[in-house]
Amino acid sequence: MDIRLHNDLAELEQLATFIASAGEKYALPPKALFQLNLALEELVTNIISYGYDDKDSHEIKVSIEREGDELTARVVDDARPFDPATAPEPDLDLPMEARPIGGLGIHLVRKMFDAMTYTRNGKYNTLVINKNLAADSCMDAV
Amino acid sequence: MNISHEKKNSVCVVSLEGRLDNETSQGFQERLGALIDEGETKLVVNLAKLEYISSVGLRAFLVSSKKLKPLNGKLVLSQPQAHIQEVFDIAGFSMLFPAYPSDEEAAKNIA
Repeated sequence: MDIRLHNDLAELEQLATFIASAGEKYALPPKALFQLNLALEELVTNIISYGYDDKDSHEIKVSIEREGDELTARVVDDARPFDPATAPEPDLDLPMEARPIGGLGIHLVRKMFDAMTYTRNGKYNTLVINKNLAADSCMDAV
Repeated sequence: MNISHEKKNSVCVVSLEGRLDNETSQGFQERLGALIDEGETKLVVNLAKLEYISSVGLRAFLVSSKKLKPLNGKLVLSQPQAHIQEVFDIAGFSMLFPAYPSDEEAAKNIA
């Protein structure tokens, strides 16, 4: 299923409602649903907040599918090219006072999902994130 | 999002209920900031009823912690649900914000 959002942070509420209905439709376990929520909020917030060079209205398409144990979410936008899959990792060993404020969202998404695939086609970014619902990949980081 | 706070001896217990997301994190950050300005430097944040947190929510904790630093203050967590604790773990925030199984336990560790 999919939804089209405008580049306005107020649209995140609609995104959350959409994810909740996808969760019901695909009978997603609570933890996977939480992680999906978090991932899509992080990705769409980044696009809306930092992705555009103009103040025009833009469309962001988000889709969620489940096939067997494989959960796939896709975000397509016409923001400036940005590949979160190769963005630098934050340094998690820094003392508190040296931590940059922000920069953690993409890190959380990478750790909570099994794969992140970015492609640029013409003026469109497509980011696909996958998660196998049978395996608990979330604990890999710990 | 509901935020309430209660003074227990020298410690201030702030309880969160709902979602710490793009819409609510700023309000939470301002609330903590106001408490710190009022002189509360020992904070326990109870997360028992927190359902959701994203990186903006984590940022609110980090900002407050930076504000507490020069005041020799401390902020710790109590009763986070497993999926919330996991976000703190993955973000590398667990050592900055240790979590305890009860408010009393948390208070003991910052008093």
